[in-house]
Amino acid sequence: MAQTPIISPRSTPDDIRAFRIKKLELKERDYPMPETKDFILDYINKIENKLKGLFDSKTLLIRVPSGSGMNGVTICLQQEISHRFGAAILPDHLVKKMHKSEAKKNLNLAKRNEDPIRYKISASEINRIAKGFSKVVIIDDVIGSGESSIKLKKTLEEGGIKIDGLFSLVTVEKSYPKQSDVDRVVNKIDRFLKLNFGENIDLRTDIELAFGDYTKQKLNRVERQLVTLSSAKKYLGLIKAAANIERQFVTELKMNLSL
Amino acid sequence: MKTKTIDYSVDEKRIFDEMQAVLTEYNKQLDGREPLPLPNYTDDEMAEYSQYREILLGEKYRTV
Repeated sequence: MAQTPIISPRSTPDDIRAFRIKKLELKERDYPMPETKDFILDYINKIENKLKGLFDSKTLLIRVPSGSGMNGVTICLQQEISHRFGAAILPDHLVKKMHKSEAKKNLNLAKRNEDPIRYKISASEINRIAKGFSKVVIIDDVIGSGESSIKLKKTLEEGGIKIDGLFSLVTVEKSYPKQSDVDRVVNKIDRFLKLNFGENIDLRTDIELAFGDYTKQKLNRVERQLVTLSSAKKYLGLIKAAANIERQFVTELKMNLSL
Repeated sequence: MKTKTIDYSVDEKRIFDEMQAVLTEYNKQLDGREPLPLPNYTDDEMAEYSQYREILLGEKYRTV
């Protein structure tokens, strides 16, 4: 499991809740200025003392493309970090998304399996730019499961661009699943379905593949649903499908289909 | 490669605006009782649309 450092501090539950409410309200009004910028400043000021040393003039910021095609928050965040620390911003046209569904808090695994997160990048151009920097950081407004940032990181790294960390204004979760978390989910499903040895091993492999590189939130969302025999059956299929999507994602990257 | 919104034709902008409306409606219904079917844009169409939106957002929020 290749787990990427999330360099932003973990947010408090109150801050996360307030952020989501306000962001939704701004989105409904197409992220007006200067309100969107003021909103960013409030949150940056809360974590200001934890930002020291994270960015400097040799840092290149790559932002996650907007899921809604409207998000002004991540751009304002990127802009503010650049302004405060002298970090550079990757030009807007070099990273694009190919998925259609936004990364919503309650988007379930079945829906995400229908439309996996994928990016298309201009690898040679980004590589050329990144060579002038000592640190490259991916920026998003919120990290929950980390799927958007981490899929982008995998795409960039396959294109030869080394990523040093992920940063978000609001960080819901920054730890990754441990072996004990994987064991617990396998055991929950096994309790309902009485898997044989081979099925047990396959499930463990699929969970590690589909969830191991993302934050604990992604696996926790599934674990919370494992409460009945029918939910265990349903999620066994969804986990297998999610692992196959991850395999396909890796294959596509190796074939440079997204670059 | 296009790097500014002025690099796009009126027709291209119209197509991307239509996609934006379709995708916004799809995402609004995504977690509702009757979600809409996934819009059938190709990967290339989505990448082109996303590139335009990123450039547009960059221009909107960096000039203020």
